[in-house]
Amino acid sequence: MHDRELVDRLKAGDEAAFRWLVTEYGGRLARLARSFCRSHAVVEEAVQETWMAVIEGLDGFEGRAPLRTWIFGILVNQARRLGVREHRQAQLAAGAIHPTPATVGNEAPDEREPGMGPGGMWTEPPAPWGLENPESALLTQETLQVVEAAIAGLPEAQREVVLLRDVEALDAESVCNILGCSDTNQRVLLHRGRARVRRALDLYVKEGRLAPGTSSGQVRKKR
Amino acid sequence: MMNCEQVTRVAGDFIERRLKLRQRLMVLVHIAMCKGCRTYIEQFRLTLLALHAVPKPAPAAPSDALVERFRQQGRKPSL
Repeated sequence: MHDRELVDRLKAGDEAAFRWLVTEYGGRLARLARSFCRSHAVVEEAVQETWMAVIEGLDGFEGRAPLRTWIFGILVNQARRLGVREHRQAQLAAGAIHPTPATVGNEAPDEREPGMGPGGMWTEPPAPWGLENPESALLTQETLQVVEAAIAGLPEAQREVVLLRDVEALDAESVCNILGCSDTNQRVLLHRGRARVRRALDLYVKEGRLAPGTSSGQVRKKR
Repeated sequence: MMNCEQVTRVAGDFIERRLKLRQRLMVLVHIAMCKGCRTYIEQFRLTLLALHAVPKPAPAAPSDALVERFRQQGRKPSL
């Protein structure tokens, strides 16, 4: 469904359009909210709050940004707010004196690729994966699960940018607006996140589960 | 002249063709001579491919309460 048509139908109170929207986006919003909130209940709360805000804000939505950018923006605000509350409550429960938000300062100042020497040249260059048909080998369900797990294991700020840019395919400007970060910061986070996912795939391939000539059935030998 | 570390840092921009011509040429010259960076760029390309292919979470229908809330909002006169 086109954005314009969908928005018009939603504004007109079309229930089927609303059901479609929630069905299509609910899981995707929850996936992003998990970056900000720990418990399943709080993630669900963030998604619910987002739909409430969408319902209330629809009349004022002018369509200057795509609908999904607007919805993801609401989700990030809600999830961030609830995530901070969740973290504060956990800290108070644990007896901490100065509660701090969960999403601050988990970023390593510099992330060097393994095998990269101090002079900026490879001391141990990456070994080729040697896959006979890499595209189809990488797009198997099993490999994509490895990718999903790698995304879930990223530091929060990297995970948010990778999810929005690469998985949800939003453009850089929208992502900066949604997350409230500079373009430079967004680019650094995106690169670091992607680089970590490459390393996860590298490990996975080296473990042999994607090796060429294996009979795992996951790797297609014929073209 | 770019070194390997600089090439790895622009890998995504190179693959997505976001680099200015001058930078793009510098990467091309580098990877023509550097097998490690050629491998890195190829693996990065495959990584992006896989990231773009991550499946959507399973669809879940909205709760009755949420749909009811949408229905109520529709009845309110707009300003």
